[in-house]
Order: sequence, then C-alpha cells, then structure tokens
Amino acid sequence: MRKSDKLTYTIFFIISAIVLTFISLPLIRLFFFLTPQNASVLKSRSVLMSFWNSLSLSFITAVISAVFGVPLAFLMSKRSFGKFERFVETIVDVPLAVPHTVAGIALLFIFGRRGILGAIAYNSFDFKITGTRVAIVLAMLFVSLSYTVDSAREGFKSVDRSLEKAATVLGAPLHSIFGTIYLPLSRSSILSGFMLTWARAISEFGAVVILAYYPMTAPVKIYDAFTQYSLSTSGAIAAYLLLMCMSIFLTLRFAIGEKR
Amino acid sequence: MSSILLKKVNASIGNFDLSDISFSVGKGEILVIVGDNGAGKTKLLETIAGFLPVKSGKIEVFGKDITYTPTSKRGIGFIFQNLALFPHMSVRKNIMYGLKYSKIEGKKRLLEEIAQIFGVKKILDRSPETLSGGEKQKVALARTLITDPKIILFDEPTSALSIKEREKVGIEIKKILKKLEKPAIFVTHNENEAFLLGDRIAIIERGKIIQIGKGGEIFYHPVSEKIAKFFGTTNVFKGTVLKNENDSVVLNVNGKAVTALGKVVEGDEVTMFIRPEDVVLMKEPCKTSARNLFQGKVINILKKGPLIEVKVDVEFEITSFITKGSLEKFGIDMGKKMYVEFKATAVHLVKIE
Repeated sequence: MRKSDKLTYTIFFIISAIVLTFISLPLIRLFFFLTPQNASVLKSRSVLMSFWNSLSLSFITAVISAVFGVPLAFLMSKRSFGKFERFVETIVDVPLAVPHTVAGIALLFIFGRRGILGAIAYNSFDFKITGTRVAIVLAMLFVSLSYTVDSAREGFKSVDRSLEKAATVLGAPLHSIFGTIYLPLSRSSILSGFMLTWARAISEFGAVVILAYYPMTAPVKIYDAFTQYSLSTSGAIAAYLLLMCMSIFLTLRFAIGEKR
Repeated sequence: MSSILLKKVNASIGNFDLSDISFSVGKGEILVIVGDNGAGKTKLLETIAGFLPVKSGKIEVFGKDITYTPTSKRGIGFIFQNLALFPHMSVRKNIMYGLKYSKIEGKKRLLEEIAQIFGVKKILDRSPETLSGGEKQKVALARTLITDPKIILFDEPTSALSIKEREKVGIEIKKILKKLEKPAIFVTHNENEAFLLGDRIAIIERGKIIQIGKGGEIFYHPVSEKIAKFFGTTNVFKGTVLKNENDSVVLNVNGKAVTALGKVVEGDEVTMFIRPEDVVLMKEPCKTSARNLFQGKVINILKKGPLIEVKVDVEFEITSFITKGSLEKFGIDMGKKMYVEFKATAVHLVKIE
C-alpha cells in the first residue's frame, strides 16, 4: 500500500471513531443510571403506564403502517401513479422533513375538538380525540408511516419483474402474485420498515405531546420528570426506556438478519 | 390450421415499433426468430404473450382470437431469458406453481410424469439457486409444460450457457417439444442455434420480419446482403445482366462474365450471393460442369476454427472455405496463382430495385 493511501485510511478511521463515540458515549453514560436504587422508579405506576403506552401504541402504529403502507408502496413500486408519481413520493416523504411540533399543530387542526374530523367525532359520537390513545397513535402514524412505505417500496422494486411475468403466464391473478411472489420476496424489507416505524413511533415526542399530554408516553413522562423533579429521576426513567428499546430492537434485528 | 397466426400486427413500445408482423406457426412446428440485439425479438414475444398491447392487427391461437385476451388467459407458455425461477420456492413448488390456477385433474400424477420426462425427480426439493444452468432450463421448461400451454415462447433462454452446453440443451429442448408435439417460437441471436432448433427461421430487423423460410432457403437464398452476412462470411457482388437465355443468365461482374440461373432480364442490376463453401480452389483447371472458372492471386488466408478462409482476387475478390488438408496439399500461399470455380446453380441473384 502506498504511504499516502495509508495516511488516508488512518484519517478516515479517526473520523469514523469520532462518529461512533459521539453516538455511543451519551447512551453508555445513560446506562450508568441502571443502579439498584434507581430501579425504584419502576415501582411508580405512572412510569410503568407510560412505558406500556409507548410500547403498545407504537406497536399498533407499526401494524397500521404496514396494513396501509404496504399497498401504497406496492402501487408506487409499479409506477401506477403515472405522472403523479413524483407528487405521491413527495407527499409520502414530507413528514420526514416537517418539524414534529409543526406536525402536531397541523394534526390538531384536523383532529382537535374544532378540527375537521375532530368536530365530527365530537359532535356525532361525543368522542374527544385529543388526549386519548387514539390521538397518540395518530401522531405516531403521521411521523413514522413514511419509513414503512419507503422500505416496502424499495423491497417491491427489487423483485425481478420477470418473476411477475412468469407467474402471469402461468395463470396467476394479481392478488396471488402479490401474495406468493412480491410479499415473500420483500419480507425482509417490509420487516425492516416495520421496525424503523416502530422505533420512530416509540421515540416520538413533539407531535404526541401536542395532541396528547395525557395519557403519557415514556418520552413525555421523561420530559415531565425533567421539568418537575430532577435530572437524575428523568435520567433513571430514560435509562430504563433505553434498555427496553435496545433489547427489543437488537433481538428483532438479530432475528431478521438470521432469516435473510 | 396453424397453431399461432399473426396478421399484420403493429405495436409501439416507447419509440420502438413492431410493424406489420405476419407469420404463422404450424402444429408441432418450431419457428426460430433470429435478429441482432435491439431488433425487437423480445418485444415481439412479449406482444404475443400480451405483456405489451397490440395497436392493430390480429393474433390467433388455434383459430381463437386472443389479440385482446389477458396474458394469464392466453394459454401461452413463456420461457424467460433469465428463466425467472421463483428463488424462494423449491423446484417442486416452482413446477407446481401454474397448476394452482388451472383446472387440470390428477395434479400429483402430472408432476410425477413431468419430473420423469425431464429427469428432475432427484432435484425436486432443492432450491433453484443450487441448480446448474442445464437443470434450471429443465425446471423452467417443466414448470411451463405442466400447465399444457398451446404454444411456447422462448426468449433466448440458453444465452447464459456455454457454447457446448447451449447445443446440448438446445437439442434436448427440441426433443421434448417434438415428443409432446408442442409448437414453439424460439428467439435467439445465435445463427447456429437457429439452424439447430428451427423447422423454419424468420429474420427480424428493426421491428420487421424481413425473411422467413426453411433454414437452407434463407442460408442459400438470402433476400438481402444483411441477411447473407448474418450467417458469417460470404461472397456478395454487384453485377449487370448481359443476357438471359431460358433463365440461364450471363452477368458482368467487374468486367468478368459470370454465369448464373435466374429470372432477371438484360440490363438489370443485381446483387449476387455465392456461399464460400461452394467456391472450389484448384491448382490447374479441370473439365467440370461448372461454367464459372477464373484465375487469380491469393490475397488473404485466414484461419477460422476448423475451416480456412482463402481470398482470391479474380478482378473481384472471392472467398473460399477450404480445409487444412487442402491448404497443405495445394501448397496455397499468399500471392500464389490459383483457379477458382463455382457452379452456376451456386449463384443466388437478387434484383436491385
């Protein structure tokens, strides 16, 4: 190897080390909060409830994203929108670029008590959406649905077109081709989209806090503890949330990676 | 009745046009469509299969108009260039795939039969990615034939194989098609494969069928220089008809009188084709029935596989294929004087319009 090449590698490795440290250091520091005396925060019903809310509602969000996002992703992968293709792509990806508090405010105008749909729910069914678990799921969906669509779309796109043609000449109707060819061959892409959406939904704070401060999700609870109690209390809750997320996602990632 | 019939089929794909495609394939016949890359071979097959829409014209399969029938209901088999085996299914599931959508009875027995015919019994539980090139071909063909298509379209499925394997697979495909009496359209850019497989050959160029006929017909009587040269080195000259007596023609080619047979009249400008294997080289002239005998100098010797191309200048440059044995026997060398002879019947004439 040339001397200058060696130097290039060395510099790039140093830069990479900085990036990796920047990401892992704060998280590692947080793990030091996982002490026996801090475990007492888990005895608080409100903390446990917030964890449960975060986990279950983000999971529901990921499921809804898959149910609604996969058909959309399929149409997009087949360029079914014609000249509106770019337009559709932009709409799908816009939530990724919108500040989450902005998303929250925007959703409030639709689902708030005086919002377009919120008013209908309130007047017809006497149901106030804001401040409920429905509102939390709506907020989570808005900011995380894009991940499922994007990932599934790329998965569908990578399926060799001749496989669909082969299935067609063998007599298969489209719904069978979708079920027997596209879905199984895009499984890992759809699953990784599902995971990304779930992870994004768990972490959502901005949009959720505007649509529903209560019932509290874990990020809201941490913020609440941070403003009302102390850094160490919020740090302890944060550490347990981190532990929980890491264990779920590392397990899933491992499981999906194995099957690939 | 023909198995498939195309009547003046026109189709547009982007800025590529298939124009006025008309031909038919007989029962149990294999038609090979030959053309260069981009000539429209795949597009033609995809139009027949219904992946691409027809603009005008008609496609009939066993007398039934299928021009606007959806692909899945055309009863056509298609073997793709990459074979398109489903990578996530076993060989068995691949072969059985089409049966789910057909009303054929005795599906289990059918699989057994097909597996027997194709000799794939031992690999039924394997995944496609573990198969050899030849095995993949068999699986693709078995998967198609099990649904009993009325006609099978092949889109250069052997192009990924080595030359040797390609020939072997080609012969097997032909054997199976003939045994099951299945008509087929086979597309390739390889002229050897065309001769090997085709009962008839069609030449496609820029979206048009420019000649169709039996292999020998196209080989010895090409309608254009382009087709003649498609089958490798050949002799193509331009000449003028000097006289025609009972279709025995004398032509002027670069000042030399060449005798040929043909229905052309005095004054016609013609293109003449002479296959190099019909051109005989001799040291001394000998009395033969051939009326075309010229003397000239060897100007090029080119070794090409088993044959040697010798080019002789006899006022026009004519190429002959000879064997290594002849080369040594006659002591043929650059600059050497040789006699060139070919029969009048070996000359194929096409009038220049």
